[in-house]
Amino acid sequence: MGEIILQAKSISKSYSNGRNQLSVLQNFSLDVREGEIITIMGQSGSGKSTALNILGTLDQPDAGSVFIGKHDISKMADEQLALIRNKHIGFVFQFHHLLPEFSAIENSLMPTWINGEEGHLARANDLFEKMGLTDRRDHLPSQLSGGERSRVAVVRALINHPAVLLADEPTGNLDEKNANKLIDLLDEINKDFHQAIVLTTHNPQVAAIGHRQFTLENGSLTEKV
Amino acid sequence: MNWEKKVSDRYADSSRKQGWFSGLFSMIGMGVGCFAMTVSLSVMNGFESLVHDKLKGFEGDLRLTGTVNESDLDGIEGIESSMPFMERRGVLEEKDNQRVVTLKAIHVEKMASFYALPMKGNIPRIGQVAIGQDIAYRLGKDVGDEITVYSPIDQSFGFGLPPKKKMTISGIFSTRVLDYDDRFVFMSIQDGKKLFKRKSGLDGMDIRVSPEMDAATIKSKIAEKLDANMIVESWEDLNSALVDAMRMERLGTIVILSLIFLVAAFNLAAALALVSIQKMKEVGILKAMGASEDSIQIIMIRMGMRRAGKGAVVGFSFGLLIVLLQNWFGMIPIPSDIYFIDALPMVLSAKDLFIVIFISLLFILTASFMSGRKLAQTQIKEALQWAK
Repeated sequence: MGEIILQAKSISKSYSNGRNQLSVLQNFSLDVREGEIITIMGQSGSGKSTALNILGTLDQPDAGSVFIGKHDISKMADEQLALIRNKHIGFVFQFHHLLPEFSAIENSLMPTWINGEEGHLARANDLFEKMGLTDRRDHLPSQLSGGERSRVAVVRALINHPAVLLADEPTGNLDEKNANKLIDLLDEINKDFHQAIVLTTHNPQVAAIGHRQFTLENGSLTEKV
Repeated sequence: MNWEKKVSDRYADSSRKQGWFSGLFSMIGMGVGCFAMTVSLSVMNGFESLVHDKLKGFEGDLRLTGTVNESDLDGIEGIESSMPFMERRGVLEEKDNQRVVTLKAIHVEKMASFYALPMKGNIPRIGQVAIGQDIAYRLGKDVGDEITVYSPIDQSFGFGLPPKKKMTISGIFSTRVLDYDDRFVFMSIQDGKKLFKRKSGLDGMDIRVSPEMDAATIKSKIAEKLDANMIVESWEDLNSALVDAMRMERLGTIVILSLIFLVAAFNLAAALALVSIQKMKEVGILKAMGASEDSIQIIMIRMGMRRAGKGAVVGFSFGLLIVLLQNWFGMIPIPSDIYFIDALPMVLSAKDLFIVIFISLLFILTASFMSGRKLAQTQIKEALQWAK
């Protein structure tokens, strides 16, 4: 395996609801290396999304630190974090989160636009072809099926050649057929592009694609041996 | 095309379908504000320039007073012409009826070219006077009538009665500016020298500056050359109370009409707040993809500009069109016997254009910025959860 590209060290996160303090993550540590798929399995409410949000700089930990490459992102300003998200991290959400006003191809190109870069259309077309979406490129999200939307979201996550792709229950909203198709595609992407992927799921079948598989329980990770 | 523009255009299109009502009101508000301010300022300008022209027509661009000689202005470039004068408080007498006036003795041969005075009759020659129409009305005099003129303080030998002179009214002028028609009487400088015994020298010079020159610059040049006992003043200095009053009136108009913009800005802020709620999820997605807070702010400002800016451009253009049509065709008449012109004067200067554009932009940008600020600062996680 390659060198470490994403590292979480002793992350703690809790939420306060008035008098009650709910601890979600405790001493959560994880190394992600180039080209590996890591799956994190856990029940609903176990803190999978919180962990992924912290790894993806969408949320801040109460304690601990997150490194992307050698950069400690907990010390970065919002503008720098935005740049890190744009250049180094790709997100695939359970609810795909495509922009309804933009076509599939425009949605997939959005990160490159934000980055101020043009000329990624060829890559987008290649990825669309790989995902079997070539004839759907100019459709709006509302004109796509759930599976197609998820695959467009994967193209969008990959368009900027991210160091790591974070997928938060990507199959959670799909039927079995589309879920299997998406998992096969993620596996293929990992092999073809040597793409590091961190994937959360509550489905053991989906978790099985991980080179390393973890279970999140009581806020801590346990690696399946 | 930058991506913020693409996003704001799409959002504006989609939100127009959903929140068109509030958007329309902010657009109309800005349009009405721009139209009202453009037209009001141009009308004020029109009347101000009318008053300015009349004041300058009566007094010249600058006035030099004190112990003045006609050669004082020699060598100063940019002076088109000058009118030396003697000036006294005097009396016009007709039987038992008397009027205290200001007697202004000038080189009458230059009067027509120097002063712009609407006059019934002729320019006075030696032995003649031109009087204001209010004086003529009060004394019951007309062109060709005779009247007695004297300066009470100018006795021949320092005592006794001042010299009186029976003079013919050659013309009656009507300026309709301040109390000039009730105050001034013009006569030749030769007659002035006969009547004004106490002091034989000039009292001042009215100065007309070449049109291509700046009067303030010429004023400074003259001031540098002057003796301590001479004063140079512009027509604005001479009528500072009137100029200040007009300036205050203009300021008041701008402030009051800005309230239209304020109401429109509230409408815009409300419309954009609605958009903020509608687009919370999308903003979370954009930020997750690396969009900065500044970019989100720019998107909201662009949306504000697109909504209210359109209204402002339409209102402003319509205002300009009205000003142009009024200047070309004189569509809005006014009574010419009161104002000397038969159509409402409208003049729009570059400064006023800037004021209208600046104020409308200020309100649009402020409303858009305030609405966008909160949205831009929304935490990504909260925004994405909002979507769920």
